[in-house]
Order: sequence, then structure tokens, then C-alpha cells
Amino acid sequence: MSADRNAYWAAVKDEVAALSDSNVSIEELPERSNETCVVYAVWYEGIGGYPLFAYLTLPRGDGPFVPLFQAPGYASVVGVPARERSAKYAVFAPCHRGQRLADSGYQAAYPGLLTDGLPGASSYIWRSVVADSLRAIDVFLGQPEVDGSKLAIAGNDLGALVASLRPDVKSLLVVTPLLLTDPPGRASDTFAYPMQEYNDFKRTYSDQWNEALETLSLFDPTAGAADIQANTMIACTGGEICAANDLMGAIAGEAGVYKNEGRGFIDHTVQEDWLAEATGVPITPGPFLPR
Amino acid sequence: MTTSDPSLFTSSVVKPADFDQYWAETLTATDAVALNPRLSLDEMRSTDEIEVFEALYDSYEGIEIAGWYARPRNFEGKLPGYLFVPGYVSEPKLPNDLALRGYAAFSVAPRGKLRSNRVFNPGYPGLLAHNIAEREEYGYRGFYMDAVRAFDFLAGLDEVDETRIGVQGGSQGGALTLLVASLRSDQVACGSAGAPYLCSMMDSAEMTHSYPYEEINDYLRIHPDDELAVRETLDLHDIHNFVDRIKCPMIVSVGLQDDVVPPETGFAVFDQIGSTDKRFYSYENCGHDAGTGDGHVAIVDAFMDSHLNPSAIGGAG
Repeated sequence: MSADRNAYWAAVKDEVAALSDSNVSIEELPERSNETCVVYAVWYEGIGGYPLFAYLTLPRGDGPFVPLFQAPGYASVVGVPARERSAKYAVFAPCHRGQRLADSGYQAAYPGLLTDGLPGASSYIWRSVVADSLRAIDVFLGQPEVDGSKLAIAGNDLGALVASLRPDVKSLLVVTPLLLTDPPGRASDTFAYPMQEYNDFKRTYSDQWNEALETLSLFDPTAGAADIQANTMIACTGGEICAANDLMGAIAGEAGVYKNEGRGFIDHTVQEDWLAEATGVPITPGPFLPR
Repeated sequence: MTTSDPSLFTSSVVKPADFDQYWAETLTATDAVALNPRLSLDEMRSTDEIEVFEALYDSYEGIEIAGWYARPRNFEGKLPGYLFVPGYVSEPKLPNDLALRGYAAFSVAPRGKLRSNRVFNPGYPGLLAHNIAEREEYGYRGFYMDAVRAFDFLAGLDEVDETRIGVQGGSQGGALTLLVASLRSDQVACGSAGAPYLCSMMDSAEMTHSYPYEEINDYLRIHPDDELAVRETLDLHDIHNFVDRIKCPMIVSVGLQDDVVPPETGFAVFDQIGSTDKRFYSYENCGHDAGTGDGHVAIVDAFMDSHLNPSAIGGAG
């Protein structure tokens, strides 16, 4: 990690660490709990005093449980964790600022979020998005029912970036789409959103593009992957294979790439079975119920 | 009835006696609201090849609905129209890809989605069970009208050839495709419905623990005495009961291991579609993707293009 990158993220981590004594409020959601798990709403504070929200699920039975952190996806909605996960992991599904249930001060736009606040490194909204994720992990591991020595992350490459900033992550499942990995190179090959957001910014603010590239480089997980100690699987589409291989090659821990077959049931099963094996929880049938 | 062969599934949906009257009254109430269409150019999302607009119109109960409209920057004559209807939790896509293919393309955000949620905002989870035991007040009543009005919005644009408008979407978008093709059966030229949601809803809730259908199970776990009222509401809004009105060419796809939308319900709704020009695609080892990563996207594109005949302009960036 470069000196600039080190300093940038060290400052973010310090801001997050300063919140360690701030209030966390947890309340069960009986309508979402079921015979396999209990679902909770969690309210807590992010940097800048921003109010954040997460779903926490705990399996029925005695813990401690393997903690699975679901990195927020690129969408307005964060859902209740799927039963196939909530039945066997402690799952934390946080909303970063701007997503529904954490949008009282800032509403993310789609398209828009991916370039909001560029070109400056201090104003780019993803500084806060990453900080919200780091804060969420602190809140998650503060729960007595979780075994913090087995922390796992699943999600897109925001999860990889977070793992580069948290050496205690033991297992990392990165799934498509890759949003932060080599954005200038990959955006030039597509007009599909969300990557097209980079092209829109470049076309509209061409005089700011070079500064934006410097900022985006801070958020590229490949640049920080030497700090990822986790056992990692990167599951990607064929179009993402080069970026995924670059990321894999830079990761310090054991890492592999799985190229999706394009058949969702198979790809999902491969990913979830890998995660179970990596974290030491039982491999169980997927969400498609037997007929 | 659930069987290991999804094609043998029998839906438990019943068409209520007042189904046609209820929806006729709902359409009349919607027609009483002026459409009030508005377009505003979004320079940042436009390119040398296409223009992108933020779109607004008014819908049932006077609620303002947003969307994205995109068209080729340069064109002659009328353009074919392409209505894209969104999934349950996803925000509507910006249809620049469709404009590059030569379409006047509209991607709608029905009530509750971002930019259309100032008045109605049940959230996710939330929408599927919003007023689910009160049939007249059920959230999807107005949501359905927003989709129908999206078609009216597109058909009303000067540059759109109203004889060449197709509808497409997956999951909830699949359901809305079937809905619009049913309620605008004399106008929709073709449709493509992937993994259609909101079909045989009570049966679906029994066959899965995945959201959104899990919202029904969550509700009934807390309110078991409401089951009959819930079934009555859902029968009145079940897509299964609309599709015998469809006249246009229609394709439907399912993933045979779909945990989100049980594939059985796709087979069942396909059987009910009134059009004789229809085709069904089922994908082994696919879930809710319903073949989109396994070649079905090209099938949809070819099907829509064959019926709507756009003039592609291409280009990227």
C-alpha cells in the first residue's frame, strides 16, 4: 500500500475508531424472525454523526456463531438476510448512508452514487461508504453471540476493499459486479450502468478526470490487496475475468477465481458451498426447496 | 398442487366474481387523473448518440411517477417504443442500451421506488404485504396502474409509433409485462416476461422461504386469522387472472431451480395466456436469473427486434 493510500485510510479508520463508545440500539423484529433465526434491527452512528441501520440475524440455538458480514450492494435496498445464511451464520447486513433505512440525511441516486463527490478524495461519497462498512463491522463484532476470530465477508468488491483494511477478516467471497476494480480501464469497454457512470463523469467533467482517477485509485481493492489476509474466492463473469485475476494475484492470502457458468443455481451453489467450507460451517442445501 | 414436475402444477388461484368490475373501476379512476407528461433532458446521461430524459407523469390517486426516457439523438420518422418494467427491489435501469438499438425506450419507477416515493413508500420488505388484508387498499392496486400509465406515457410521445410498442421485464418486471399486455391488449405489440412474479402468489409463498414471497409468510405468521382476507386480496391482484386477455406475441422464461419465483407458477401462467403466438423457455440449473446468463438475453433481443423493427445506431461510451 502506498504512503498516500496508507495515510488516507488510516485517517478514516481513526474516525471510525473514535465511535467505539457511541450508542448502539438493537430491537428484535418478530415479523421477520422464524423457526431458524431471530432477526434484529440495529441502529448506530457512523462518522459525522450519521444515523445508520443494519439487519442482524442470529441462528436459533447456542452461539457463538461464525460472523458473516454482507457488504452493501450497489442498490437502494438492503434486504433481510436469506434464510440459507441466517440459519447457520450470524449475519450482519448493513445499509451504508444513502441506502433505504439509512437515508435520513443523504439519499443515494442510481445512477449517481458511483461518482458522487468526485473528483476530491475527501469529498468522494465512497469514503463515507467504506467508513460505514468499517463501523458496521465494529458493531457486529461487539455482539456477544459472534466469534470474532472467524469473521467472513461476502459481497462485491467493496467487501474486498474493506477486507484490505481489516486484517482480521478470515474468509472473503467477492461476487459480481466489480465496481471499484480498475474503473477507468473497464468503463471504457462498456456503456452499461453502473460502470457507465464513470464515462458520464469523464465526458461531463473532463477537466476533473485526472484528479478523479487519483481518487479512484485509493478505492481500487487491487491496490490494497497485499493487505488482504483472508482466504478468498472471487466469483465473476467472463467480462470481469481479467480484473478478477489481477485482484486475485495481488491478494496476500490464499485466493482463487471462479468464473460463473451463467446458470444461477450452479453458480450460487458453488459460492455458498465455498463460503461454508472456508468458514467451517456445514454445507447445507440451497434456497430452492425440495418438491 | 405441488409436484416434482413443474409443468403439472395446478394453481389454487381463483378469479373473484367481481374481478373485471374491480379493475374496470380502477382503470376508470386512473383515467380520471390527467397524465400530465413531463420530460427534462439529462445532459450528463446523454451522449453523442442518444438523449436521456428524466420523465414524470401522474397516476392513480394523483401520485407522481418518475422514469427514464432515452431515444436516439438523430432519427427519421417514428421510432418503435420499448417499455422496460422493473424488478421488485431494483431501481429502474437507465435504458441507454435500448436507445442505442434504435428504440424510444422508457424505464419506469412505479410508486415506492426512488423518485416516486414521496407519498407512497412501504419499503422492501414491505410492498408485497402493504395493506394485504384490505383488498381495496392493497399497495399493488396503484402500482399496477403506474405500469399501465407508463405504457400510455410512451404511446403518447410524438416520436413513437404506437403500433410498434413492446414491453419487457424480469421478475416483477415479468409480472408487469403480462399485466400491461393484458390491460392494453389492443395496443401492446409484443412482450417478454422473465421469471414472472406475482403469479399464484399464495401457492408461491408455500413453496419458498425467499423474499419477497416470504413477506406473505411473515405476515401470516403474525396474523394467522387474516389468511382468508389475504387470499381474497391476492386473488384479486394475481397476474394469473389477467393474462387470458393477452393478444400479442409473448415469450416467458423460468429457471427450473428458482427459489424466488417458483417455476411452477411460470408454467401455470403461461398456460393461461390468451395469445396463441406464445413460447415458453425453461432453463435447467438456473435460479431467478431464468437463463439470462445462459443465452436468453439474445433470444429476448431477437424476439423484440423481430416484432418492433428498430434501426440500431450502435456506439459506446
